[in-house]
Amino acid sequence: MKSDKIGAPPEKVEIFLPSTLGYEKVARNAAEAVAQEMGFSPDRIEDLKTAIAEACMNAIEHGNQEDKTTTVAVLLTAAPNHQLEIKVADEGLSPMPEEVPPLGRFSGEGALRGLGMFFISQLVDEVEFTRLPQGGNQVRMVIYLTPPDGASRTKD
Amino acid sequence: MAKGDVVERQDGPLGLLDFPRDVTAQTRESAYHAYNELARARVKAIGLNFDATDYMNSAGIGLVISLVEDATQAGRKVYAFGLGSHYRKLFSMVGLTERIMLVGNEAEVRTHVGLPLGSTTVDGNQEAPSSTA
Repeated sequence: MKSDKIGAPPEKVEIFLPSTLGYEKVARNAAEAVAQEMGFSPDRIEDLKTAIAEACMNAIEHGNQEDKTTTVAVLLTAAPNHQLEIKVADEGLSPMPEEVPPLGRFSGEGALRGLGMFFISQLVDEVEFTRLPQGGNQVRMVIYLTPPDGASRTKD
Repeated sequence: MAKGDVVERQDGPLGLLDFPRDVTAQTRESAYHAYNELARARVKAIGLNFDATDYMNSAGIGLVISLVEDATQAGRKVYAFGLGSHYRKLFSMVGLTERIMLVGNEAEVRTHVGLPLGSTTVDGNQEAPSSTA
């Protein structure tokens, strides 16, 4: 957040989503609002929206198995150094891989597996997939307001 | 036809698929149904219309990959239009842009296919192009 701005919103935003596909758009909209407040460019905000939606979908579909008794926790933290950290945690009904699976381009069914994680890894500046000590999967993503090297945001 | 369905149109050798606002796993059934209608009609080219789309997730992009894979294997040329810069980038990242031609609008698709300008209806009848005064 722009901490020097009077009446600036809080630096942390936490959202709990039901494990129903479609609710990832709530996190997407929240991330967009926070990133706009921080001054991210429209292109960068689109990257962020896709990454957070994919992380939430993975949590809903795979981590929580779309079990209606579970929730997905999303924590957005606007750091003073103009970085936005996003944590998406599920309840771990099913473990998720801690590494991004290779993307098979146009190789039948294999091409579709891991597409969401592939997008996340390409669109944010830092990403880590972990198992939480208390159980559950967490995706931690960081996106910088200004790229460290001034390079294109999309990784090769 | 539900609000979030894919709708097909045909004009001779060109088949068009109009995608809804959200392109997700829920789009799959109507997309395959619409595509199969065009395949049965033996169209030579497919135009994917994303003019109305503002949210496409990985399942939706996976769906597009499947449709493009089927179309190209059947020898059909595939075009896409109505995509913003972000989704053009995502298409490029997964190799879709190597398989399809991204164009600006439906008129460009029609030019590539060699059809006169004008809009098609759901049942394939062509409407007269609007005159310019």
